[in-house]
Amino acid sequence: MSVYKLIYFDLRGRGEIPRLLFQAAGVKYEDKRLKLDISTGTCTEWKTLKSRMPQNALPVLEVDGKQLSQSLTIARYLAKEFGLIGTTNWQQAQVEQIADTMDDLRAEVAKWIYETEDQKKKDEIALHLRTEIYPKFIRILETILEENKENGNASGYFVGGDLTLADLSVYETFTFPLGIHPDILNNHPDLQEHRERIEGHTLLADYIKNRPERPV
Amino acid sequence: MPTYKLSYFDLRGRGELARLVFKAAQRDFEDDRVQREDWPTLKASTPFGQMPVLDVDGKKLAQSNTISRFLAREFNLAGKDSFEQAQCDQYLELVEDMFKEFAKAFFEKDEEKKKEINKNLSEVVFPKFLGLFEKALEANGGSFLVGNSLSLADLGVYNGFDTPLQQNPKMMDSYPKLKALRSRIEGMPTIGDYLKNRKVSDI
Repeated sequence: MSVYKLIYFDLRGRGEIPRLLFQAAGVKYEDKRLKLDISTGTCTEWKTLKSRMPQNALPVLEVDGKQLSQSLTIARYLAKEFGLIGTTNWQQAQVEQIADTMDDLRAEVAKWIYETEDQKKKDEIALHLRTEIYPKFIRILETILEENKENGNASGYFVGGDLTLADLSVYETFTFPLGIHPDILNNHPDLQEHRERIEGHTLLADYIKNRPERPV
Repeated sequence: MPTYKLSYFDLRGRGELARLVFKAAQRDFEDDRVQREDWPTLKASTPFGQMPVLDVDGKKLAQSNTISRFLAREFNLAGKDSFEQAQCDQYLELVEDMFKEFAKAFFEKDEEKKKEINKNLSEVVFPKFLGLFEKALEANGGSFLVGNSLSLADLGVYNGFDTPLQQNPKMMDSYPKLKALRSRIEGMPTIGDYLKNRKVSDI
């Protein structure tokens, strides 16, 4: 068994999906969290660590001392190692398709987060999220779940009938939006059920309930 | 042997990497180049209303990088084990990071802001990424980014610098290993011909 260390800021952000993967697989790892000074938004530890990271960025996954960068890469690698990415190359691609799509959604929501100066612009972005973005991605996800049922997969998981990286990506990508727009899944029972299924999962329930509250 | 069809607009954009994977692997595929006026009718039949879409024996796959990774795995261009696969992946993601910066200039309408962004690109952003890729090549023995042979990582980096180089042909001159990798790819069978003869597009 390899020795794992995940290095990221003390936020959910781009580190949380890998953390969820470790939980879902029941695999121990060192969860190195760099603390942020909330008042200034800076991280002193990061100043010294940054030049030692291969891409001067986080998260970084260390596997028996070898370093891997890029949050999506780390997620796919861990999912592969832990059998949480489907059992055939095609299934793996379907899982990745969903994870990549969720990253597109994350990027749209990030625009709202990063608009810190112009409140009018921020409100416009929020409106765009509500009227265009959320509906678009919700429709994509609901279509997949509907097609699954038509093809004999009524498990409620996105690929292959059991939990995969796809489910964790969907769950975590909606965590922040639901914080600022709590009603967006109100008319989408399949997706609400999906969240409940993840929150009730034996290996995830405790972690999700007790994980530290963070702004992102 | 599966039948492959890649549907995308008639430009490089987000379809080109998958095309390069087919060429590097010397595998046949239908290079379905969709004209703008035909797109609205086609759109509803795609999984997510977007292209590229890969059709494999009638099953469809969306998301450009998912498609490229899938094909690379199918054709053994994704590294020899899970960690090498992740390393390939990592470089693809780094190219995406660079592309996001580059896209800011492309979409900026304000001329003043555009000038600033382009200045930042040539003085800060591109040197940063060129440096990271050059260092990565050196660390892996100089010839390829991952392992001992061509992989998706090399194709991704090649593809990622196509448009920037079109706009600034000298940008890679101080990065000998990266330049050499480009020449090496351009000299390979099938993909070399494709690169020499493909039509020029802005993006």
